[in-house]
Amino acid sequence: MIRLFKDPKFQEKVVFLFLFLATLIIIVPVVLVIALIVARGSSVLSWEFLTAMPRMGMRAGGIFPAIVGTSYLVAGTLIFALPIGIFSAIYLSEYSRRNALTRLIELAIVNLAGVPSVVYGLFGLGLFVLFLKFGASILAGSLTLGVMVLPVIVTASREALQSVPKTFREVSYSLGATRWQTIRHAVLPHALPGILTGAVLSLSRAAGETAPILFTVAAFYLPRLPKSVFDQAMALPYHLYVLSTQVPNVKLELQYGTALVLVGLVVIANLVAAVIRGYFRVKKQW
Amino acid sequence: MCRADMVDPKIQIENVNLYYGTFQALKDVTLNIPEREITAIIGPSGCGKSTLLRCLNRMNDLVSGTKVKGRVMIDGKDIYHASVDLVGLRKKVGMVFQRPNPFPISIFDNVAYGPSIHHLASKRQRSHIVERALSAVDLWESLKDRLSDSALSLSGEQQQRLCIARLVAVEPDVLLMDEPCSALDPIATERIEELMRQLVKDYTIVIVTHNMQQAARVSHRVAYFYLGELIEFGPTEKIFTRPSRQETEDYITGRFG
Ligand SMILES: Nc1ncnc2c1ncn2[C@@H]1O[C@H](COP(=O)(O)OP(=O)(O)OP(=O)(O)O)[C@@H](O)[C@H]1O
Ligand SMILES: [Mg+2]
Repeated sequence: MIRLFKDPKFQEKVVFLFLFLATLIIIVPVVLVIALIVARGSSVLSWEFLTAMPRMGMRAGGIFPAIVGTSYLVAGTLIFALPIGIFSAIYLSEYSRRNALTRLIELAIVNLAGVPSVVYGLFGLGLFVLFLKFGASILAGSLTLGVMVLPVIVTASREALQSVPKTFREVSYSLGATRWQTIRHAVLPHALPGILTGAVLSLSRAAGETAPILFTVAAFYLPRLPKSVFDQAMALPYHLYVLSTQVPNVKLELQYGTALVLVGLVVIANLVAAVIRGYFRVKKQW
Repeated sequence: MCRADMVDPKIQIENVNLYYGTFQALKDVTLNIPEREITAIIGPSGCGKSTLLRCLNRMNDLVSGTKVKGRVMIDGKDIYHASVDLVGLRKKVGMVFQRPNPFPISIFDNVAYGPSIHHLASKRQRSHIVERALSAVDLWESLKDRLSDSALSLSGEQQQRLCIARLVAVEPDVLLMDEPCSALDPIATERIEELMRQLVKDYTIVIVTHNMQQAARVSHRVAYFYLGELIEFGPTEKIFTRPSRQETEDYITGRFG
């Protein structure tokens, strides 16, 4: 028996089996979750469900305002967080020398990424809703989500920039390019796929989080579309929460249908990003 | 093979000392590089060949902690003077690196990189510049139908030619080449050498090489460096047949070390 365990070929098989099982365990919950949502939720999916206002205290009709609300929030988040995140990543990776200040910034980014999302919700309530008097609004919600995803964008963009080979920069300088021209033409284009990954990750998070929007934008029941960024809006994750806990006698299918739409939107965004990345990978490689 | 006199040298290096932090990589180097000739820099690994080359387009500025003392004059102007425009200098003094390093973009965009950054030409003129630059390195005929292909699809030799074309497109005066053939096979190497012989009609070329035969074949003058010092500088035939320093002879005959 002990002989057997010392046999390299046997070890090889055991190790392989363990690694394979570990990987399998990761896949199982994902598959189960998706299967459950699809099985329970697909029956309510219809054109009406996607495009109509909710009716009868959200027990019938569609979830259109929540889809629109979440889309606005995601767009608002990215409009705010992408430029700031990418610019600071460029600063950190291309301009700053490593010193006490940049180390402090790095520390802040790491810690920011670990803050629970409900804390961001309270922060947004305090700063954007109350202090800056935006009220509970798409603006306040987007800004709150934006602050939450900034660390993700900065970290992903920075890694993407740093993975661009040094020779690209050297060649560019040696051809007489300035620092900004070098970043703009020899570095950024090649970092784009990685930056995109950060953007999609943060998009998924912004679309799915409930806590940060709870006090800053989400409307319980608002069967009309928001008219400006200072309006409240419904949002998919919050709607799902409301259906599951706050409204009695809702058909279970409605909850699963809402979850299905939310997951579907995130998956579509990921697929689009994967296609774009694949396109870059075919065209650009080093 | 080379003119005996050196009336106006293109590059005058005068008493240059270079420090990386506290380490002195170049020691009191004085050297005149003539126009439209190929000057080869040889010497054992770590003797400062690349460092000297990177002095000439101030690429060492990118390494923090470098200090340069002395003067480097190109066309009579000190390139380390405070008023010097680095962009202008690097346009004029271009560099070819050891490994072929085209950008992972199309062949056309590689050659057009410099011109488009410097706004040298409108979009239409740009294709003209690309054609001229690729012709100058003998790539135009074979590549003219696949300009939009990725530069990485080319062979090593073609990639290195492309890098030279990318340089030629910004119309420099001086080409610095740091072991440009070390990643190529002997046949490709020979063809790049032939290209250098063509290019030297229009450009001043400084090449670093570990290959003695290459230095003997292509260069007009040779500078031998050892531990950051210039040991001997002279016409190629003289260095390879009657070197005046014993160290030089030991190195070129392989009796070194
Ligand atoms: N950035 C740097 N910081 C500190 N020391 C350096 C740096 N770059 C080079 N050196 C040192 O300076 C000396 C000269 O380096 P250089 O690269 O010029 O040598 P070289 O002659 O080109 O060698 P090789 O033939 O191996 O390319 C070496 O001892 C090297 O270790
Ligand atoms: Mg070197």
